[in-house]
Amino acid sequence: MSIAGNKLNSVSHEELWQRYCGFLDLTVDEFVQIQKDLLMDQIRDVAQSKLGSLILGNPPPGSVEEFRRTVPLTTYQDYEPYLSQKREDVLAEKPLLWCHSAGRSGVFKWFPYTAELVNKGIDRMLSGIFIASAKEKGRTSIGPGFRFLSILPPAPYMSGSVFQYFQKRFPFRPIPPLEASENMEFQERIEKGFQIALKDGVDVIGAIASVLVKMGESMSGESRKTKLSKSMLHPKVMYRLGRAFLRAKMKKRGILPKDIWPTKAIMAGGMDTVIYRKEIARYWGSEPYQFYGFTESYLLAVQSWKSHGLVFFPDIAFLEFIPYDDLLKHKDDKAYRPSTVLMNELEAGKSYELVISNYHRMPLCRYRVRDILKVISLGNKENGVNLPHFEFVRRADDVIPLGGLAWLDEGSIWQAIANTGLKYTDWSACKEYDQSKAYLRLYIELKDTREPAEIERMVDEQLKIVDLDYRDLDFYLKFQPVRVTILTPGTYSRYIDEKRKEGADLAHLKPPHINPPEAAIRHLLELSQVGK
Amino acid sequence: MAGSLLNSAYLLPPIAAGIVAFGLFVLVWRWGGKHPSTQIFYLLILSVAIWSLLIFGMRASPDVERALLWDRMAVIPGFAVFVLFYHLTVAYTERRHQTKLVTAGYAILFVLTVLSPTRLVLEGMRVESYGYAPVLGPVAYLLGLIGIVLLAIGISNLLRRYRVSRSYDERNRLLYFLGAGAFPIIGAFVDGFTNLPPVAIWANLALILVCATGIVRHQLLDVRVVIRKGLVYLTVSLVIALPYAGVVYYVQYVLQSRTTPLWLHAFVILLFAFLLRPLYGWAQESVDRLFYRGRYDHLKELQRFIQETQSIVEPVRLGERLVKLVSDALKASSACLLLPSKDLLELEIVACTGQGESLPNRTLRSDSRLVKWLEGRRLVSREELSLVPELQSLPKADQDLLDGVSAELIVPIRSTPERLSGVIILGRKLSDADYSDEERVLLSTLASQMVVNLENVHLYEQAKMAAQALFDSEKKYRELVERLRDVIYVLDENGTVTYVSPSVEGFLGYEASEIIGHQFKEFFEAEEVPWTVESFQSNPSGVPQAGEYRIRTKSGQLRWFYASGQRIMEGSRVTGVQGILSDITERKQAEEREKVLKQELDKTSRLASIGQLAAGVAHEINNPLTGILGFSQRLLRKCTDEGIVRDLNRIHGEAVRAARVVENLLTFARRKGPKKDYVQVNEVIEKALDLRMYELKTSSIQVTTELAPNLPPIMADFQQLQQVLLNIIVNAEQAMTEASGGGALRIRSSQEDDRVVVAFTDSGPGIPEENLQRLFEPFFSTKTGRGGTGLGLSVCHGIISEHNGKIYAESVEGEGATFIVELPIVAP
Repeated sequence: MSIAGNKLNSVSHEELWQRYCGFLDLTVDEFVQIQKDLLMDQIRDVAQSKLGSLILGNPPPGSVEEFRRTVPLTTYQDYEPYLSQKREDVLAEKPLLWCHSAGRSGVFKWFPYTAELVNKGIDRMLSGIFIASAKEKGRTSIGPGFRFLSILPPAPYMSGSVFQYFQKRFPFRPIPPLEASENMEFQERIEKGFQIALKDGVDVIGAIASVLVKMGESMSGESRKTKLSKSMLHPKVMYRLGRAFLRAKMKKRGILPKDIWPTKAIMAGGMDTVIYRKEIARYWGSEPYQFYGFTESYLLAVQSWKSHGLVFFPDIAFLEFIPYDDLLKHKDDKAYRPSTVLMNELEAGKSYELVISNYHRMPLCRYRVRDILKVISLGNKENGVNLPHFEFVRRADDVIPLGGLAWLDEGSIWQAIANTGLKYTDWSACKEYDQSKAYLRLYIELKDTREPAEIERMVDEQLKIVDLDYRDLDFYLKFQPVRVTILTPGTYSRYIDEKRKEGADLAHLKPPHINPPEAAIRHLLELSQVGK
Repeated sequence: MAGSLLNSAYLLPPIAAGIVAFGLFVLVWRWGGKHPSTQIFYLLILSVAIWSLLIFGMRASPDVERALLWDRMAVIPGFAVFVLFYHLTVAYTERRHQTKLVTAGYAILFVLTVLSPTRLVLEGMRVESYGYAPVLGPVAYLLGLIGIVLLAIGISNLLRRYRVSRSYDERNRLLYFLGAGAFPIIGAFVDGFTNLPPVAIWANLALILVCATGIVRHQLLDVRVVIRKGLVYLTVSLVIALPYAGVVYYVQYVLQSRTTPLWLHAFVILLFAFLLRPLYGWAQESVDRLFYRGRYDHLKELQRFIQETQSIVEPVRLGERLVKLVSDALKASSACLLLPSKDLLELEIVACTGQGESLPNRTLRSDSRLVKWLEGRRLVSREELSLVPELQSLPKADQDLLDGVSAELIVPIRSTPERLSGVIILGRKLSDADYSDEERVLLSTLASQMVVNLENVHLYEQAKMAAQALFDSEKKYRELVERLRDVIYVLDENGTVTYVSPSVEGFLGYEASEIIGHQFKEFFEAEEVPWTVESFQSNPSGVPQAGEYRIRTKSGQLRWFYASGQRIMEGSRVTGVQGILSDITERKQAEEREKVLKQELDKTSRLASIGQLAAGVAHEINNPLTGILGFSQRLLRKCTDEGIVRDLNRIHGEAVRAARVVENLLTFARRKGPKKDYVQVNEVIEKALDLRMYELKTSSIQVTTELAPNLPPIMADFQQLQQVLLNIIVNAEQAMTEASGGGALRIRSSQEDDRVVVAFTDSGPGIPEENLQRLFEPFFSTKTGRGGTGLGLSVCHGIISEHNGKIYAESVEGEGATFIVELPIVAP
């Protein structure tokens, strides 16, 4: 798919689109055929490796059907003895790099990345960028040399690890430059990035959605208080700020990031992308395009052009889907072996758990990602994409069951909080029992003063809108299960500071939103007391 | 003035340019495609058209004021031509970073639109010898300069692209733009900076004409071809014109005249047409070779390929020839030909040059996405292939094959729109350039030719396979037929043998060739041919016919055959018969033997039963008979009454007769076992004859003997054997005497295998058929009322059977009878 560097200048936008986004023209059967072909290649490639033969068996499956019939579903536990030790001798190919996931419990999950996957991953990242920048199908406004402001976690996180190889694959201008930012802290890199962007401008922003919102908030809030600094005296900066000032004045409001950086594409990852879509558009001028991926396989899907649904790439991993009903059966009876369906066997409106098998000589086979996805349509007439469109529902294990009727996940709670319009710093939620009744305990740090009862009411109201099952709780049980604990201002920043001092990794600086460990809650409450 | 201005040379060019430009606009809009650069080109042509018409308005104006008004309007589309040409080059070469300059160009155009009514652009209008000429304002010079700079940058863009482009066709297209770009520069320079008559009209018209050709027909018209073709015809014309002029000059010289009569020209033209035709052909070929070496070579190679491969019927050789041709002609780093495998599951490389020779993977699966996709396509480049979504992630095996040969071009060979007969894969060119359209055409032509050749090969292979299958089948059946014990035959509609299997020789002694061509019936005894074609004609059901027949062998023997026949049909007509002859002689003989044996057994069994009965009866009768004989004799001695004596004599006589019968019965019933010893049969015959010689002589019976000398002795009871022979002689004697009062009796003895045979042939009346089988039954006699007891021959049968021999009679009524006695030879 890649184009030789010397040819890039003569490649048309249509050709770029066709090369990187042509998969959107596939039919679902073509998609599945590609998947099957690549799976057979993968089986041949990894069957001889120690890990491969352990999972695939000996002899390895001779067909896709046999593979699905005989190879068991796996989890990280199956690979942990080898991958946690970074045992390259058990792999089919010496990896180019190792990445680790965030690891909810504080323990990282390590995964090898082959050169082939890194290259393919970069190509797919470009797919997303071209889609996000397109004003109409086939007409991307991005070309070689685009300026990419990266607000993504650094190596050895997946995004940062792969990003360092991006430039070798496709000519673009990273902001901040890779060499300059190599030894910088995440925060420092962000600051440096925006500093450069202020001078040189930005075409594409790749970021975590919540960070973008936070930056938008802070920039719009601070724009009135901004004092002149030496760096602002640069003509390019002055031109950019002057133009932004004019734009803001014409709209009769304060300066927003979109006035300073009229970007061509915003790429974002994480479930908060959906929640913050509108806010990001307000601050940054356009809605973010969502990437779906994880450390186990890098990028797997991208938000389809002109649609909010995710469309999978055919060439990153072999995709199987466990129907939700089967998943429930398996939950009740661990001996039950859930069935899987392929992309061309999905049903619109139904939810599935995703199962992946790596391509590109990577080690994972029939790996349960534990993500629940919902098929929102089998194709979209508006954008002409005839592949199933998905939305991320939740992590399979990140739920808070209430009253046997509702299962609240991170997305629902987050959406409900966002819908209340509350100004908050962060939150955590867990299940709590009181006289045999289960409650949703929400720990939240607000930016203004409110009473817990008021917040309980607001969140409850919004949850009823966001989650229909939750509404049934009230209808059937006359039960309002939200309990709120307001944390004093600065609780989360103190928590983060302490964690940073302890040397915690970026992913573990904050407690998880859903079901954080008891120790983390205790510590939050202690820190909240300090602030009183 | 006005009159002079209205001269057509001054007015026509702008109106003509306007009409042509509008026409081009329509053409390009209709066929120019959707590329952004083409859309900009619409505007460019439109600008030229509007500008031309405004210039026409200016030139046709009756006074200077109106001319100035028209010209001030005309500067806007005039400058737009520069901006649009520049924009066109930016869009075509995709030099995105120059978009700001494009924007600036349009901004200047906007400024010019605003300023055009003022004196800053055009101060006024003056009248020159050729017509109106504008007096340029200060901004006009700046605009002219900007326009030329934009054109220069545009040309620089094109040149830069020209340098980096590896595509022959794109470079060719760029030449159009570069050529076209030069015209407005010249026009602008001449009109802006000199006092020469205006040429911008012509320059802009040339610009759009060349660009239009480049955009609309760049696939069809090759600018280099235009130049070269012109040179070809110029050269060829010179080759012919020079001698022509020489001849004309010479004729004029001879005639001492400056004028040449028309007939002479006509004559010379005809003469040259006749004489110089070969020269023309040679010149054409030489020039072609000189100027179009590549194309010329391609055509020659193609011709040679077609000629050479016409007779090639092996796919591998054909493939080798093809890939060599392609590699050589197109200077490709590698070339491979893939053809379907025998099981059609794969396309496999049958011939390869360059890197492809050492490929680990040499096949593409027929059901792979790549092959399926190629089934409906024509020639595609690897680059184009990589843009096809469903082929962007090919399986490694396919990818490896394409990478292994550095595939650059993939040419499906399709016999029908949907059927893939093979694939040609070409590697990069050795020069690293792209394949030109011309080379692609050659490849497509080769692929089409290959389809024909492959179809021929396919047909040949099929015919070969069919012939082989036929040969194998024929061989199998021939061997089967030849190994058969039976004889297969085929007759034509006349009943003539057209085929007979070689096994016939073993049965009939004839070679097959001696039978073929003869009538089938000739070989059957008494021509008892089982069936004819006619018999099948009249047998609509066509049920096979069969039967047992005798056929005479070459040596004259008759052999039994089971013959079956089945009709051969052609439509509804019976055209022959085919069938099988199975030799059943042995079976027949066995059946015959069995029949005889059965008869003998029946007879023996019957005789045995009779013998047992007779023995029982004789035993029971003997006692009372002894009493009758004894008492009758006693009474005869005592009785004196003559009447009683006569009666007693009768009783006694009958009792004696009865006693003799009983004795014979007992003899027949073998109550008395033979006393065997070595006996010479001839001696027994002679002894028996001696005993009856007197009677025979007196009965006028001529006796001849043919006794074989040196007969081996047999084990027999002399007396009993003599009794048998005597019985036969007596019977013959009586038969001949009764029938004719005499006759001839011939007695022969001989050795046949392990038997001694004695035959008595008389010239008597013979024995009726119905009596032959019953001769040896007890009490069967033809001498009823003449004193025969009917026990003689049955006694003979009993005796001979006791000697493990056979006695039987052969006779044709009226022709005498022969009694044969066969006795086994027992080695001493």
